[in-house]
Amino acid sequence: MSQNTPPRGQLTREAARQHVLDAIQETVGILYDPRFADILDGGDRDVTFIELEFDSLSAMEFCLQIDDTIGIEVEPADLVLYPSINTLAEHLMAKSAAR
Amino acid sequence: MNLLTLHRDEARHAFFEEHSSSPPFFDTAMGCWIVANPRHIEQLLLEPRLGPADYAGPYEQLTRKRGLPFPNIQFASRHLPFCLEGAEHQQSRRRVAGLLSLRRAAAVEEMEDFVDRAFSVFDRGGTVELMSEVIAPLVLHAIRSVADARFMGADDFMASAAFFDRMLGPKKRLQLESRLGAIRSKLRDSIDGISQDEEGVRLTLFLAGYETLLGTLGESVHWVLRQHQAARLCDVPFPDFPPQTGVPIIERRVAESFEFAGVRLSAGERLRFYLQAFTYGDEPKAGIFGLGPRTCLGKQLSLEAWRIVTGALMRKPTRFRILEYEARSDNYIFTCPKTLLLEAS
Repeated sequence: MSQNTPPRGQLTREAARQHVLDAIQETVGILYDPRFADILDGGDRDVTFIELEFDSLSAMEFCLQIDDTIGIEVEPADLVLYPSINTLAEHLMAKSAAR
Repeated sequence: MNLLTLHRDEARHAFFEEHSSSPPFFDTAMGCWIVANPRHIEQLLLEPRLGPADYAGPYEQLTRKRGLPFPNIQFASRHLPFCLEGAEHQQSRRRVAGLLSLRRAAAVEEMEDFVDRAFSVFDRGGTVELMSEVIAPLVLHAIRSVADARFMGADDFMASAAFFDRMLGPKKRLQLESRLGAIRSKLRDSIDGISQDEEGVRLTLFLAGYETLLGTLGESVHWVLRQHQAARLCDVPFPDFPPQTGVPIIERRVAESFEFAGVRLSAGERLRFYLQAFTYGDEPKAGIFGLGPRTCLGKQLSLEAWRIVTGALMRKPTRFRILEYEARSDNYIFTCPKTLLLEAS
């Protein structure tokens, strides 16, 4: 499904978090909202996908973005099981180590 | 509380005890209303202001945004009663009910002919993997017979019930599309002049019949056996009605806003009904098949299959012990044992 060759190898926590943030921006663009400005400015605050106003359709789009950029398959279920930026980033980090 | 996997977790028993008389509550993680009170489930399943869940929406989005084609999923969405409303829904249900009524006796006869052969694995002693060696072949016979499609194999149906799983990612949705395409090709290649309606009704049986019956029989047998470890199978008091269900959850969408049990259900919101709530205490066990205009059309066949399976088990003097049970975890909507390994002596 990936359009370009995604990077391989293990992701660091910071890289995984950045990929999550990028995919959120691509999907819902909500991080420009002043409520989340500190996150874009490099803060480490954790926010849930519900706070980011994800619905089932944006969850699907987010999964596509992650797959496109880092080649790791994520499903909408993962956004329930790992419901925030940091928990999902850690999940991606673990999955990247296993590939 | 993780509601994504609650239906297959042991934690569900405490959950249903706690919520058996609670009003619906909104779960933000799942993004929908949760209904686990059997009385409320009964009332809401009869509520005309609720419509079918939107199974096609995510596929339409993938097509619109990424150009990914899903012609076979779209075909299924136009023929499966679960996706349809009004006259189309009634027409589609009538087609499925018609085929079931025409073919059920043949399916029952086929299961009865096959069951003793399937259960002869107990005679060899040692270990028996009940799902792959006994229940799955039996269910395959039943579904193929009802659909009058003996050319279909178990691999054709496996994981096709994922159609109803809204938590599927894009890759699995593409895999499902490809599986449905293969099923449809096989139907068209094997049945001369098959019409789209005849294809649609068989697709309904395969998608909604095979894995759900497999799950209901597997989960129910496991549920009874685990309470009678080390007994002889012929001494196990199997109930007349399957005590568990392979379809623990069904969903509906609010078509028109209304108040219910002190909460406001707004148009567009989803409701997730836990049919497992009917498996406890004195609740009417028939509730596991739903009720109202979308009641499970396979109920009668499921009950016949349960009667045949438990009858065969009760003819065995074999003493058993459950060595291993593992639930399938490849979807978030059905329950079904992946493994049910018994030691037979």
